[in-house]
Amino acid sequence: MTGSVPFPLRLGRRSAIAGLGAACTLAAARRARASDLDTLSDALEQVNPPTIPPSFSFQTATGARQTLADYRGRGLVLNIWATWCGPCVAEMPALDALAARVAPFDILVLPVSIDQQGLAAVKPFYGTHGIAHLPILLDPDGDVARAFKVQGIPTSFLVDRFGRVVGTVEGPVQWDSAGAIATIRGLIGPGLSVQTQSG
Amino acid sequence: MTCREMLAGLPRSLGLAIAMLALALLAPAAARAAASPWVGNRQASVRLITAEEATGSGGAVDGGLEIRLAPGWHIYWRTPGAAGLPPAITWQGSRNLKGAPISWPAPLRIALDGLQSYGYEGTVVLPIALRLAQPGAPLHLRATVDYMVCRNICVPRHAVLGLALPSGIALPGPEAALIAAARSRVPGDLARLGLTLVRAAAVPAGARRSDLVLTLAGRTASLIAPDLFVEGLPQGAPGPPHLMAGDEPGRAILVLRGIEAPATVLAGRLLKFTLTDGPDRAATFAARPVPAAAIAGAALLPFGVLALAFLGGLILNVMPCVLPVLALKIMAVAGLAGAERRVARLELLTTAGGVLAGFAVLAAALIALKAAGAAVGWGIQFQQPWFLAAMTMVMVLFAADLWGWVTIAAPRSVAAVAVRGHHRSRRLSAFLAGAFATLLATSCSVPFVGTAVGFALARGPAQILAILFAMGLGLAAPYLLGAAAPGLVTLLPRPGQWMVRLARLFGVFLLGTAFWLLLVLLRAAGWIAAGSVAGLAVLLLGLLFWRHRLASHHPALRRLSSAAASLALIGAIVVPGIAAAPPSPPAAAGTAWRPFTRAALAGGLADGKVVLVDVTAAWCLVCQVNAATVLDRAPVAEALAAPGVVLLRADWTRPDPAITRYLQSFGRYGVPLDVVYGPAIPAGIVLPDLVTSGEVLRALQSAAGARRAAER
Repeated sequence: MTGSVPFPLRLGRRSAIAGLGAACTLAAARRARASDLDTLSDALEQVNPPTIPPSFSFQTATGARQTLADYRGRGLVLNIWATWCGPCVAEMPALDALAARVAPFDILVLPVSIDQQGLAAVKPFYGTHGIAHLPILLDPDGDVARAFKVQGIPTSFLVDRFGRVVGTVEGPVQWDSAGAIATIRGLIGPGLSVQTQSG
Repeated sequence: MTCREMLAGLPRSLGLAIAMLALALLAPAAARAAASPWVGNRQASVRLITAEEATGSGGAVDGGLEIRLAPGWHIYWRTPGAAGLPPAITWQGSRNLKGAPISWPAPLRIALDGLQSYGYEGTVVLPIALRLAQPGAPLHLRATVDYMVCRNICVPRHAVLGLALPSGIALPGPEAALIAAARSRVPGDLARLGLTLVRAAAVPAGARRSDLVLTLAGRTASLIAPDLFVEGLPQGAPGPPHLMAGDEPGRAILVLRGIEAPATVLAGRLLKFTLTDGPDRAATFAARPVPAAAIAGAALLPFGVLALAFLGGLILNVMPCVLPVLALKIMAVAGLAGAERRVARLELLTTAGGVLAGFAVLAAALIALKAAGAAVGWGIQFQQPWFLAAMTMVMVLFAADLWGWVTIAAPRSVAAVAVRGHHRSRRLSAFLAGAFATLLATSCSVPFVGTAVGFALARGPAQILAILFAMGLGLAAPYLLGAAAPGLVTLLPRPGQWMVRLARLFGVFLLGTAFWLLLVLLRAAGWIAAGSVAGLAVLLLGLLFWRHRLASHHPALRRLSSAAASLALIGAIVVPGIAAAPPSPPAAAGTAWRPFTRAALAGGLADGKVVLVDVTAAWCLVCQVNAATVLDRAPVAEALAAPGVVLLRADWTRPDPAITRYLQSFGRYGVPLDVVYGPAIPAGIVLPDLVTSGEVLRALQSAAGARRAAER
């Protein structure tokens, strides 16, 4: 009897139950990230024509000095934040999820903390908030915020592969939504290495 | 967290304030002033004020920092919550000042995407007792204020304020009233609210979390919309408390759920509580929580909960949402008629095993989701359009199977099995029928099950597993009984043509279920999604019928139809995800039901009305039964139409974090939930899952009770 069952339906048995189980699990998991935050498209101010960012430097967790030039060729989401800033804290999980989802497109998320205690404040924060995909970047002197003359934090900058600012975002947004990722990819453009591969 | 840090981060342009300071200090203090000039901008500005215009002869002057914020902006309380910084004042450069302790008025709760902060909005005065080093001598104040204002962004602010008070008779100035009003908002002790603390308890809620449960006595009936702020927690900032009726008359229980610390850590720790009830009533008190096993009032023994879960599982067998599967199961049993006892026994045990395996998978999924911090619930998969579409197609497929149009391995066409007796596939189909029953059972939160699942989800993995296992045992009980006494099975009629007819009838049942799922999909995802799934379901059914009619000597056409059927199947699952419409505006005009919000609830209570909150969902059968048999019918419908009654409906058909939070504040993880509030019972009465007219009317009456008494 089973022999007469054509291919697509014959798969039915175990995979049906496995699939339904997975469906349950996924359905519940997808539901988890409901958010009251603004969408990226609402908060985004495009910078057109793109501008060259001011010069500033920041430190890695090991104390190494870096500037944006160290990331030339990659798309960047530069986020200025602090552990004492509620709206910043609210969007950190979304930024963390964003980092994992845009990594394949050669886009990096760089959260620069202006906490004065630096690593001592940021490292425990990453632990208690389960931040897994973001680097620790520190600017205890607030150079970044001053250089960009930001109104307040969080403020984020989208930087294209040529190191130019193509967008700014004030306030927390739902960074990890499909729409936000499409917007970021659209503004930053395709990866240079991807281009060479396909072309 | 220093003030300098806030300054360091942001542009110096704000330091314009310093220029203002110079002006303030240089200005001749000849005119007697009880206030410094405002320093700041339209977004936020601050000034120093004093109640008197001279230092007088006392040891202290009543002063304050007045902060004026543009709409939407807030500053923080002394304990800012999940994130934030309180205003900080240093008095360097002041003369004749010994100390300046700040009194903090009761804070507001400010939530951003679930993140809880405590602070102030609008205009606020922080009262300051300005202690003089030399009473009677002039006072020169120089206050350096670092504060942070936040809206969707945070802006650190810096201001330097100057104010000079001469010596002389301390006559009250124009700002005295501001300071007095602010002082009245500084929380006093509990007695001021007519309350006493009976007990503070830390209750474990999982391995790493706990609930704080405060039992209050006294004038608890006057509590309308209490909020509770805790200081001294190792970490985290809990959300608003839930108010429940206490274990004794006149007592109230406030529960803060999901504290990010184990109960063992909280027990014995000195915590400072600030209780507010509206803008003008607040009290502060300290307590060391005692360790406790469970919340009073919901103190069910684990054995009792297990028994409830078992009973719930048993009842699930006859609930409408499991009926279609029950149909399959009846046939699995009927298929055994005349079979050998050993085989019958084995098969029944296999179905029971399928049920238990299904519950084990469910338990594992819930435990995993809870561990991942997701908002779990009972039946929330029915909020997902693609899941509903998949279930619709499964129903259609099984209906086609029962009509013999297609042969699916699981659960195999009963007639064929009964006649041919392939033991292996029979056992497999028996197992899958059990597992499938479990899957559909998740859409029903029947009496007992709601309580038991809610209990399980609020606890740890072991409890979740134990309770779901007990429920699985209940659902599997008929089979286990049959296995224990296989003689019962042989009482069924012999297999024959009647089974084929029964199978056809059950096929119609399944199509009916598919139709119901489509109606739910319509509510959850709109016309386009539901319509396209319905179309694809009809297409699938048509294709299967066509394929069935094609004799087996058309292998190519049969293969083609199978492929088309598979495409329809996949399409139906994919489409609703794409075509899901945004939520339609709730509550059609003409119905007395208004959409539920916390504000609407608080508003209704503040107006002294009786409020009924009905949390429902299109996919919840019990909810529909409640509405059709009780809420929408006389005499309840008439009582609800009375002018003093506000009806709020929370529709959980689609995912909604606010409603999920409301459910969880009752320890519920499923619908239905009906709560009656009123002047006499501001804490609310939770009605049973399956309501009766009598209970609703009694609840409405007792909730309104105090209002009538007050009117007399």
